[in-house]
Amino acid sequence: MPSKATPQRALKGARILPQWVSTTALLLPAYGWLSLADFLPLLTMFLFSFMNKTPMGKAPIEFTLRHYRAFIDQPYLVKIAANTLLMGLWTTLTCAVLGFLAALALVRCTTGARRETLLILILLPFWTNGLVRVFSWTMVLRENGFLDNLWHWIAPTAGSIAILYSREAIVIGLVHGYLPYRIITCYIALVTIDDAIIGAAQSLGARWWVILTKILIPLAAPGLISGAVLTFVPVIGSFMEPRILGGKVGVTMGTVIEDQFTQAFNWPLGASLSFTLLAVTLAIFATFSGILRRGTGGTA
Amino acid sequence: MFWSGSAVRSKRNSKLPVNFIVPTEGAIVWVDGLAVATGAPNPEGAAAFINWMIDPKFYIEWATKVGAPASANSKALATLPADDLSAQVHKPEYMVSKNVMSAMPDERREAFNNLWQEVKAFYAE
Repeated sequence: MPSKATPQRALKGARILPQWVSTTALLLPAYGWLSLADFLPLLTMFLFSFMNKTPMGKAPIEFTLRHYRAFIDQPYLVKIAANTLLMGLWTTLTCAVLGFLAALALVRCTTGARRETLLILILLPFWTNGLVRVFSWTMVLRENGFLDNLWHWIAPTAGSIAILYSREAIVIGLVHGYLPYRIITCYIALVTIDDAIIGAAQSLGARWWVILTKILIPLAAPGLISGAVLTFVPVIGSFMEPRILGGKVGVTMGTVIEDQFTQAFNWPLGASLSFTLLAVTLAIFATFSGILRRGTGGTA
Repeated sequence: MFWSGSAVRSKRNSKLPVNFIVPTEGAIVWVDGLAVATGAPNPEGAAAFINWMIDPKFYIEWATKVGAPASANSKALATLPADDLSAQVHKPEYMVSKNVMSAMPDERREAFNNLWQEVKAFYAE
């Protein structure tokens, strides 16, 4: 492993060796690992997506583009994709509002040990297995579940409010799963804003919504954008939450792709759908990053 | 929709008011196989296990006390009481219109899976 030896040598010979040597040595372990663990499997999947069948067994492999025509040949996929993007949008928006408010409260209204305790409480769900957390939501949302029973206790004659196996239930589960990411990214963005700026704005008579829209949101924009990416991308690929909380309605691009790999044994179609989804995601972010950068006036 | 073995279990052991019928449109039939993989570390043990699974002495216990699928061993099947369901699933009138599950060509399996995906998408709306 060159990563262990070269940094030291680069430090000793800092005057002789050019700077790019030490930079390369420091970056190599991370980039090497990323390309090995991320890029190579992704490249293999990209190759698979052009094959006519899953490359196992002795049958000859032909290369074809037909799996990339899936959205034309199977038009129902367009509806699934639209539902998936909508699910991603709702989750991202809900997370954005809740996450921003929570981070704002943490930054503006707490200090010291209390803030640390609250931060740990936010991170606590991460210490539990995701599957357990999603299944625990089924206990809350199902008929005669926790929420339903509470509702019957308050209003015995009213109907059931169980929403398990609905799109709302999926969004609730996803928001629960990804909210900590949003709170942390918003928190990091907000905590770096100098209190003096807000103090100055207040002393000049700025109301709270002016401070919010002219100072806090623009200055926190990079954190808000990265938080949105961190939520939206995994959410539109999710299959566990839709399957468990959505039941019959839990058909998303994530479950369709998972089905191709685990049930239909059609890896090429699953891979091509994944890359189509990736292209759509990148296109969405390419569109929005321009707008967001313009809107923040160069602070991003 | 039911497995014949489960139907036997429900009817006889659990005394449930159910009956096993094969619709005139036909039923789906498949065969579960027991096989030894090439290069298995203990082929003799595997063969002994397979022999035990199809042995009439074991089968009669499995079929009457638990509820088993119809055995492929005719000697084992002959040990069952005549009115036992597993002894009847091979009746000629049942065998006429059944679809026997077998390997599908890749194209048909892909079409089948895509259709199934479309059905799920339709009912998800």
